[in-house]
Amino acid sequence: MRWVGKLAAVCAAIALAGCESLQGAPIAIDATDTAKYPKDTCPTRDMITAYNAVPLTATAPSRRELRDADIGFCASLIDGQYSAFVKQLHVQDVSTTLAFDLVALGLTNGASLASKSTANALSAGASGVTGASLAFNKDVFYQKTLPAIVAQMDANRAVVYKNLRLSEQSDETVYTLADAQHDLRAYQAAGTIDEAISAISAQAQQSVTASNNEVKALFVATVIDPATQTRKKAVAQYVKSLNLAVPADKATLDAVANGMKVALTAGEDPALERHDVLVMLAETILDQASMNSAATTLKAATGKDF
Amino acid sequence: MANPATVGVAKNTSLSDLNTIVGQNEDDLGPLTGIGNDGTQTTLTFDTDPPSPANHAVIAADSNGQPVVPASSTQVCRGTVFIAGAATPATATRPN
Repeated sequence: MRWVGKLAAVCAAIALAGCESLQGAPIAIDATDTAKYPKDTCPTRDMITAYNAVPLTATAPSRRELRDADIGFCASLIDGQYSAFVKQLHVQDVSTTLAFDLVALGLTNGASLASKSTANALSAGASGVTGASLAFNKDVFYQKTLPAIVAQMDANRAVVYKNLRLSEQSDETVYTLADAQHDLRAYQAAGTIDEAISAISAQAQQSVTASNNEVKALFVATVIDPATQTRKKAVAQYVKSLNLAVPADKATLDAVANGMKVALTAGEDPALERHDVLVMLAETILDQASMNSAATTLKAATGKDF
Repeated sequence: MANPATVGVAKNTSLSDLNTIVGQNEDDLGPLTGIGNDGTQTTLTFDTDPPSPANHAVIAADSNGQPVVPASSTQVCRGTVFIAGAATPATATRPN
């Protein structure tokens, strides 16, 4: 039954033709209406020229108000294009899956009513179409990755938009409309699949680096003699007992860190500082001599004998 | 929040010394959270955030590919460590 194979091939072609080229970014706002918006990004050259022509002393609207109005106008255009883009991504996903599912349903339903030979052909065709659907979805990876990519685009846009709004807090002589044009381009670029994948890849690499750092040995440990270990343990227990939320204890930790020559970073999480101190103590106290040396330093920092 | 600190142990270390090192570093840093190797030495990972445990973890070689967890002990972590120079699948357990 050659027509079964042809039917499956036609359905595959129809579905594939609908999304042969995957749109990876919103339609640029400078292409939406060439009659209305000259081929520039927003704000356009005309908008910037008009803005620059407004005297610094102008009121109602002031130059700053004009700047912010132009930024808002352009941002809303970008938002509109982005929303349409995301909607189109989802439409492509639904239409692809639906086309294949309908074909599979039609073929298998006919199998029970046909003659034996026809039933075999129909069932074989159904298996072929179902298999093609699985392969097609795997290749395009829509269902699994689209939500993550859209979420990353949203996150990228939110960061750029926040910075844009922060910049608007500066007056118009510091943050001009031309400066905003650059940031708006960045806002537009943030809503693209390319930027989303770059951000996701960068986060994955950071995670790999962090994991690698975790398993990288800080020093080589050896067996410590019992007498030294007893004193060393007492030091570690003391450091761990410090309440990092209490200023006096935090100051003691700082004094120990300085005495042990642990590099401190301003604003560092106290738990990380304590971590660094403990690692330094573990690494440097190896025998009686090094324990005595550390005890002298710790006496100065804590007033205690170890 | 976990603050991991990984230390290395020479690959020719005996199992007895390896466990002594585990106990001493649990006292100095915090509870053991991971065991493994970096190809040239055993690596032991400790968490410096929580208090040091009262009972030290103990590493034992796996038996027929299975972890050996003594009665009244809890499995902490598994990995391949060097015992007397030989890469050995092992499990760390902690007495309850």
